[in-house]
Amino acid sequence: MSELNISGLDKNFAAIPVLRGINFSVAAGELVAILGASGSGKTTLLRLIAGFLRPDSGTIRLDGHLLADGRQSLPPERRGIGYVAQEGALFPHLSVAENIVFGLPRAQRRAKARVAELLELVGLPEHYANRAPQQLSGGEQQRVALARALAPHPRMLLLDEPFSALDAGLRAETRAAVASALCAANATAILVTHDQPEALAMGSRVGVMQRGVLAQLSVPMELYRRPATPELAAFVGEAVFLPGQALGGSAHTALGVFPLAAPAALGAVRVMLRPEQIRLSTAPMPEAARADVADITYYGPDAMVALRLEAAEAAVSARICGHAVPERGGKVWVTVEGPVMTYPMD
Amino acid sequence: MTAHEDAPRPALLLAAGAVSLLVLLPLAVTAFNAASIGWGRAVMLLWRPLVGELLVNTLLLIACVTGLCAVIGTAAAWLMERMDVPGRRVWAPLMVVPLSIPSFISSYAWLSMSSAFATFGGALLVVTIAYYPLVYLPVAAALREMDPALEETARTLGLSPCAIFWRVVLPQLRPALLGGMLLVAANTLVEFGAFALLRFRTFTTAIYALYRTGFSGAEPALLAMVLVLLCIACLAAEQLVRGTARYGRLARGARRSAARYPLGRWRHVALPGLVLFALISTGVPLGVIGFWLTRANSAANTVAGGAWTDLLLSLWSSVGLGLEGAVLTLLLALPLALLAARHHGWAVALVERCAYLGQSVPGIVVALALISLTVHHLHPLYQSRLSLLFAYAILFLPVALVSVRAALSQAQQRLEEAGRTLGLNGFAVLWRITLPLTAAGLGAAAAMVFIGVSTELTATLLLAPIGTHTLATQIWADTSTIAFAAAAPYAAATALLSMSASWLLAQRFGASRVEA
Repeated sequence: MSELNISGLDKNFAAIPVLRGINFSVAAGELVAILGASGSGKTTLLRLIAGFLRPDSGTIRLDGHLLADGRQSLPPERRGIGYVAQEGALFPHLSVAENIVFGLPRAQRRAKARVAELLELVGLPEHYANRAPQQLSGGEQQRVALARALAPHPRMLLLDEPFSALDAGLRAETRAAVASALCAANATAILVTHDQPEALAMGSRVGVMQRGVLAQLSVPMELYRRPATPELAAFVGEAVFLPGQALGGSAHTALGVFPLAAPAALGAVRVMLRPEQIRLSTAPMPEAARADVADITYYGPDAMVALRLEAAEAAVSARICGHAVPERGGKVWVTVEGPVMTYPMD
Repeated sequence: MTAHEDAPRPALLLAAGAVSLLVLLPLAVTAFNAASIGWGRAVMLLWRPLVGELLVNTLLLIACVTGLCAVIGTAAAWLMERMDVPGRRVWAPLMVVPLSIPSFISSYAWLSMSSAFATFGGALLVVTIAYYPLVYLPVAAALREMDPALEETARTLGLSPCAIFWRVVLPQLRPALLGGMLLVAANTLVEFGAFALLRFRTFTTAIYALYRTGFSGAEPALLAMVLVLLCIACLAAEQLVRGTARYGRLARGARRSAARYPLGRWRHVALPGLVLFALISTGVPLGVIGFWLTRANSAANTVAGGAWTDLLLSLWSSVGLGLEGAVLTLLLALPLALLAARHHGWAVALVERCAYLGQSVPGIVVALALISLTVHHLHPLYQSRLSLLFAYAILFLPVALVSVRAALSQAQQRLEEAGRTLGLNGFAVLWRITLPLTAAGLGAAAAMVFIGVSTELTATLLLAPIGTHTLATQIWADTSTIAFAAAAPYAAATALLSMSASWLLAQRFGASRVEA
């Protein structure tokens, strides 16, 4: 598999900028997830790499060979980049096997080369080969689409929100099957998604697109624990913001004093922590802040608890285990685990 | 599916049953007349060189027309939907204009230029131009509906645009293409006016000739049965194609519109080709009519002094028949459509099939059957306006049915039920829910029937009461006597009426309804 390099990529639709100055690389065999809300430009980025669109400026290179720049663009059929569309886009007039061999030379199509091997790779039984796409579930269709994209040994793979049309149970199962198939094929791949847990779980690195800009590209833990801006912090997961002071390597807030996840300038800061960092106790604790339980949303395995801090008149929310939910209106004592992020006050 | 619905009311079932019997009446009369011949004589009459010649003529023409329409229709649809043809907004409507020019009008136009068109080639030209939109419209719709992700995926798998057309697009167009081709074949089979004017012998013109030369009802009826059987075969095949070969879209989510391929060096072929095609299909018929209009007073066959009043009278009677025909057809279509849209079960299926079978009876057969019936059994109705209106209703019921049924399924029963639970009574539900939701569909149905009836030739020619002249029958009479200039004002009025009504229909009710 190959290495992708993108530098200075710009794209406008009717004079409205959709992508601005995108720079990043995908190493051979790496899966990068691109996360973004709808309209952030993530799909446009994918379509530029596939060759369906031409960039206004900047370059796209695969293994050092130029695929596109502001002047020329190699047509999609000559790039050797596999593509899995949002809902699979299986050819409805062809069987599963005929779909899989679609991109192979005629002789190999006749011989149904690699069908059994690829079905196994994506975790489907061999007798599915003769089925019609209409007979498959959404998740199975996606797996066939992946097998079809992998069949001609593409240099890299693009996955355009491949799980978004699936319901929750099917999504987890299909995601696992796709992840293991990609790993087994040692595929260089880009996955575009608007689903945070999906991006964090599947990407070896995750890039967040915001308003046409690649705001941050890091390994999942880094992105979740040390997001570059408050906006990113709130987009990647649920975030609690508190006013505080940065003093000598720690942050002082109404909830207590916490170590810093990243160095910060001294003075007034916005402190960000994740709701699951907060621990609640119904028994009084000497160092802990006191709070009233304002509301509880119970999910089963866990619950979100809305709290009103007595000392600071500030609202925070905590994610706690579902088996230890406090009473609404009751008093609790609040502690925080682990380091916190700080941002300059605006 | 049927578990949650009441059985249809007896009155509705009865009304629908009566309508489907009426639709089947011409077929029954024709079959009865044909059967009266007796087996031995029937075989003798059918086993003749004449019938053989008609079969060869008809089938050869159908094969050529269908093939040509398939190529032209698909190529035009591909150009309009998938290539970056400059000025598509102008070209796309032009592609369907020929559908609104009655084929006997273009027949008249070509014939008046040269009698050289009174040949197989002329017939092929006229009918191909008249009916290729029947392929173009469904194929263009299918191209628009096709998921662009399929073509994109094929490109990432290494296929060139040309290979994508053959391996991805064409297989998915197959149902639309085959369906359109069979419609072309069925229409060619029942075409009468265009062939009669061009003196090209097919089953319809032969049946007419037999009737005019005074043969008893039996012999034309026998030929008519052969024609009906051919039609049934066509329509059954069409139903089969439509029923089995439709590939549902696998994906349901939002999708972007398909990318267009650059014309590139084909630009130099495609643009002149389009211009030439528009000239032949629309320019020539309209231009020739215009030419004869300017000659109206110079040739021997001039329009005499009373010409304007004659023209207005014919226009008036065409429009009047069109309006009355539309009302009657809609009234008859309603119970059938209501039954089909709201109920299921064997009785409903049977009634629907009957109405469908009626579609396979050509205009000339309906007309002759009604003549035979009224002459022998219902003499007061012989050559009456009512029998003509019923002929129209029988002929255009299938057209109306499609639209009315689609409109009624828009007003889903659960919406009416929601109205009931909000305190509306039956009349209020009809006035505030059903009617607003179905008005557009009913209007479209009425407009389509109006266009069909006001330009109808065959049944009008045979059934119109003495002294009733429509635009179509005037053109027929004048062209038959080679008075081309005299026919011109009528041809112009017909073309204008049909084209403006079609334009209104497309504007008012949207392209999708016209295509349905």
